[in-house]
Amino acid sequence: MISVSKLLCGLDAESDGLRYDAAADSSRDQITEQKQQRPVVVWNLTKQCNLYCSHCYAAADTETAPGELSTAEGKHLLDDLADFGIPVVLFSGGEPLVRDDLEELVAYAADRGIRPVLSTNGTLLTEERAESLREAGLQYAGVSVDGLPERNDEFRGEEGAFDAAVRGIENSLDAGLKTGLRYTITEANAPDLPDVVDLLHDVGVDRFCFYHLDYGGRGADISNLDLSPADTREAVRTVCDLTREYHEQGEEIETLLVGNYADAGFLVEYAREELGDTQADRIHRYLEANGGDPTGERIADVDYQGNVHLTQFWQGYSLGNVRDRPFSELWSDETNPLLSGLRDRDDRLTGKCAGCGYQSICRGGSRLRALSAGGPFDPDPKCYLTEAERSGPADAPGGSGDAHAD
Amino acid sequence: MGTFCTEALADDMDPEDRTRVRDAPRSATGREWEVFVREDADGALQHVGSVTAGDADAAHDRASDLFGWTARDVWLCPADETRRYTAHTLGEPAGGESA
Ligand code: SF4
Repeated sequence: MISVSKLLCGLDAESDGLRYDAAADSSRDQITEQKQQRPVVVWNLTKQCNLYCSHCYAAADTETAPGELSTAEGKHLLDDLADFGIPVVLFSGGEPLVRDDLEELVAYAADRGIRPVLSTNGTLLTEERAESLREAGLQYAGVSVDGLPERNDEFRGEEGAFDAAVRGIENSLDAGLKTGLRYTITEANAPDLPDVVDLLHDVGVDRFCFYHLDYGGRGADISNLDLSPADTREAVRTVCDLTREYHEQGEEIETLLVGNYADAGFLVEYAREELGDTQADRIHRYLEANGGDPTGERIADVDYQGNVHLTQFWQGYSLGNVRDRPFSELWSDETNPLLSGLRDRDDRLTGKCAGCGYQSICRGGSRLRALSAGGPFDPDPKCYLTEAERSGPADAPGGSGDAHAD
Repeated sequence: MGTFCTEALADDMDPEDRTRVRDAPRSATGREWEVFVREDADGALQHVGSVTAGDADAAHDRASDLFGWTARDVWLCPADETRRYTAHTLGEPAGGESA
């Protein structure tokens, strides 16, 4: 996750020590000089959802899955996560609000010192639920909207879903919850992006997380709807431009990019062009401290049946199941060659990633998309940097000597 | 270190201390296959997680994509045919009701 607003508009003001972790849905300041030690855990509470989105990585549908973790099992899971030092649990789905024990689990996480945050389609976020979630200790709600009304409703498989999501956002804001947008960028909705930001900013949203499509679940079936590399680059440039425009007008919106660390290299290039070398070098140092693609390290997923995954999108492979073995053990077991290989991937990355000048801030991009292209250490097929960009910068800052940003 | 701990525990452990993990379905989108790999001819067969796939050949393809760079042998066991006994418990399951 890359905080565009902090990097392009906030670094001057921030002397040091901003936190930067893998959860776009945690509303904490996200940049730090130190790499996060424990992963943010996404917990897909249920397979059930009231919508049927074409890009759903969890392949959710209208029924619960057999054998979903019970409330009691969930609390044991949260105990283990708390003891292990997990900073954030992102309650997700399916649609987590279809579970009526959501508040109980949120409260339990908060009591155990974990920061509970929520990912929702917003349509079930009534005044009452928003209120009860805030009382339970919820820290943030990320609501998915994927385009202007018509496009969003088509994507989500239900007419009126856009308006229902906006009502949910309003209820959440009214309850005093920090609330942000989740927007998965595809070829179909990329042109809507600035207008959606405008529209939701008017509603009161000031945090916007843009996800690149990752190829898992039903997302795999629509990989052909993904943006071309050139259009991806354009969409990312749009996010950078609009962030700066808002900030220049005194509207300090927060914008984040998730799911494609080629964005890190692009951001440095963008800053060099638009803001000059000093700022570009500073941004490079911050991104390097953050550590690039988080797979296997700073993000993890537990699905509704207790299977542990490398990321929330990587549902086709599981490290093990929390009914057999605690999450903390599965995550610490580096005898698993894939887990240890991903953690220690620098010399394993192949193809254009092997000699890339931005490898230290990207780490090969999405390992799941790499898998769709061949293997876990192949290049991310969605890398859009040019050959010239990948071969520079000649003397990348932060690689030696002055490792501390000012 | 993991191996030593497991062995030490196994020496001391009464089989009664282990309970069978209930046969809850492990996937709602296909069949789940436990994956075991051996890295060298004289190495141990090691459990490395599970993949979701329609049949054994597809599971082998998936496991090969993930572990082909390191594995010599790959074994696949249908998770619903695998009985797991563990000293770890995760609390009460939901029983007949939906969770
Ligand atoms: S070539 Fe690889 S490491 Fe370099 S920016 Fe692209 S995906 Fe990242």
